[in-house]
Amino acid sequence: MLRFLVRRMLHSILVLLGVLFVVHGLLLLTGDPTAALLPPDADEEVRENLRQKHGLDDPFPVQYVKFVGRAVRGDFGDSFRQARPAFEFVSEKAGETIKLGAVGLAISLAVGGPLGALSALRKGTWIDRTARMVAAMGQAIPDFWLGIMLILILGVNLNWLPISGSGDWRHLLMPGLVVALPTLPAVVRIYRSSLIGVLDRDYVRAARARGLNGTQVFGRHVARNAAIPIVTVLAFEVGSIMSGALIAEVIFAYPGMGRVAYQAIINRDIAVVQAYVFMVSLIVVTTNMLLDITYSMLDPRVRVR
Amino acid sequence: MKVRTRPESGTAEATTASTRRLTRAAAAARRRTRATLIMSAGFLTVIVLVSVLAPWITWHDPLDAELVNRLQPPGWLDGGSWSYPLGTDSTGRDLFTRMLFGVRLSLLIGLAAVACGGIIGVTAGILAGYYDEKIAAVGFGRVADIQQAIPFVVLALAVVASIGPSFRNLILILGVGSWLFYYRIVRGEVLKIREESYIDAAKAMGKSDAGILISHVLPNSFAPVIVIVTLFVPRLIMFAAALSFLGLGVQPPQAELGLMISEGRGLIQQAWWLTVFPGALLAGIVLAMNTLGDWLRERLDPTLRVRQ
Repeated sequence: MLRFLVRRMLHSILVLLGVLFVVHGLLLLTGDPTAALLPPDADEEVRENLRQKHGLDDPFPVQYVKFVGRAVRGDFGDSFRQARPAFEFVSEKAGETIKLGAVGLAISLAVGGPLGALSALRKGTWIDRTARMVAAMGQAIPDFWLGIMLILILGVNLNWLPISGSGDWRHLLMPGLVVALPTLPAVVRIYRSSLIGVLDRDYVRAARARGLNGTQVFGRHVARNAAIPIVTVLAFEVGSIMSGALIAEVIFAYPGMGRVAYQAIINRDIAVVQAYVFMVSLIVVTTNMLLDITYSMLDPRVRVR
Repeated sequence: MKVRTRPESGTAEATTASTRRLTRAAAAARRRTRATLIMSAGFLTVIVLVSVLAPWITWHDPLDAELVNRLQPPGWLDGGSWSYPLGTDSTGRDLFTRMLFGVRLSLLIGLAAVACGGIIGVTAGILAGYYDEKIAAVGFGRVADIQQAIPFVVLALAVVASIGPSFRNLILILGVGSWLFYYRIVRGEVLKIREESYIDAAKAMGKSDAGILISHVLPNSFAPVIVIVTLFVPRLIMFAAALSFLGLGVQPPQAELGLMISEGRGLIQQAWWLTVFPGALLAGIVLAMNTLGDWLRERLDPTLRVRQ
C-alpha cells in the first residue's frame, strides 16, 4: 500500500511538472515575454530587470528549472493590472470556484442518480425512455446556452433567481445547473448500465429468494454496489467540471478564478492566466490522486498496476 | 437445481404470455429506435444540404448590415417581415441567413478539427504501438497524462492568451485537445495487430517498416477510429461553439452559432430570438449526431449491446 501511495504521488508530481512546462511554454509562445508580462508603456530598464529576474536570456532548460523553482513557492510573477502577485490573486478566488464545482457535482449526482436508478428499475418503460431522453438532451444542449436560457426564464421573466454575482445559495443555483449539465448524462448512463449489471447478480437473486422486498434489496445490495463505477467516471469529469465552472462564471459574473483568468485574457495579463492554469491542474491532479487512493482502498487489485 | 427468477414463469401458458409480451415490447422498441434514427438521419441530411447550398438558399448576405432593419422580430410576430423569417440582429443582419452560414462553418470546423486530431493521434498511436512501446508509449503517454490535467476549455483559454484567437488557432486547439483519444485506441489496436501472422509474413517478404505500417497496420486499425470520429464531430462542434461564445474562437463579424449566441446575450430582453434559435439549432444538430453515433457504435461494438 505504501509503495502504491508513493508511486501515485510521484506520478502526480511528474504530471504537475509537465503542466508547468506547458505553462512556461505559453509565455515563450507569445514571442516576447516582456511584452506579455509588462504593460505596453514599460520602459527598457523595467524590461531588462524582468529579463534578469526571470532569466529570459538563459537557455531553455535553465529557464524552466528557475520557473519551477519559483512556481513551487507560488510565485508566478506579478499581475501588472492588479500590481500584486498573480498567484495570490487567483488563489483567493479558488475557493469560490471549488464551491461552484461542488454544487454542480452535487446537482448532477442528486438528479442523475435517481434518474439512472428509475431508468434501470423500470427498464423498457416510458420512465426509462424519458430518463434516457433527458440524458441525451443533457449531452446535446450547450451549457453556455442553457445558462442564458436560465437567465431569460428564471431570472428575467419569472424573476425567481438573481442573474449575476454571488451571495447566498440562490446565486449558486443557476451557475450550478450549468456546471452540472455536462456531467449529468454520464451519471445517468453509467448508473443505469451498472445497476442493470448488478440487478442480474446472484446475490441479488439470493436476497430476493430470502424474501426481502424490492426496496430492501435495492437499498442494501444494489444501490451501493452499482455506485462504484460513478466514482471512476467522476475522476474523468473533474476537468469538465472546471471547464464548466469557467463558462458559468463568465455568464453569471460569478467571482471565481475562471472569471479572473477570463478578464486577464482581455487585459493581456498573462501571469494571471498562467497561475490559473496551474491552479486548475493542481485541483484536477489532486482530486484524481485522492480518488485513485480511495479506489485502491476499496479494491486492492488497482494497486498492482 | 434450477433457481426460478420469475414466479410467473412456472406454468406453460404464463411463459408464452410473458414471452409474447416481451417480443411485442421489443418490436415496439425497435420501431421507436428506427423512427428516431430515420428522423436524425433526415435532419442531418437536410442540415448538410442546406449548409452546402447556403449561398443559393438565402436572399441575404450573412455579413451585410442594414441598420434600418435592426432587431426585427421573426416573421410571424407583430412587426416582423417574412423577408427576415427569423428576425434580424442588432446591425440588421438576417438571423436565418447567419444561422445557415453558421452551421456551414460549424460543420467545417468539426471536420477540420477531427481531421487534425485524428492525424496526430493515429500517427502517434501507430508509432507507439508498433515500435518499442517502452520509449514511445512512455513519451506519448506522459504527454497525454499532462494534457488530461489541463481541462479543455482552460487549455484553450491559455493558448488563446498567448497566441491570440483565430480560425486556424481554433482548429489547432481542438485537434491538439482531442488527439489523445485516437492515440489510446489506435495504440491498443496496433499492439494486437503487431502480433498477427500477416505482419510476420510481410516482414519475411522483406517489406519495409513504412510499407507495413501504411498497407497493413493502418487499414486494420481503422474501425475504432471511425467510432471516435462519430463521437468527436458533435463534441468538437460544441466545443468550438463554446470557445467562440467566450470570444476565443471564430471572431466577429463571421457567422458562427456560438458567437451569435454571445452577440445576442446582451439583448436577451429585447430580442430573445437572437439566442434562442441558434442555440436550439446547435442542440438539435448535436442531438441528431449523437443519436446516429450511438447507434453506429452499438453496431460496430457488440459488447455495448448486451446491456441495452
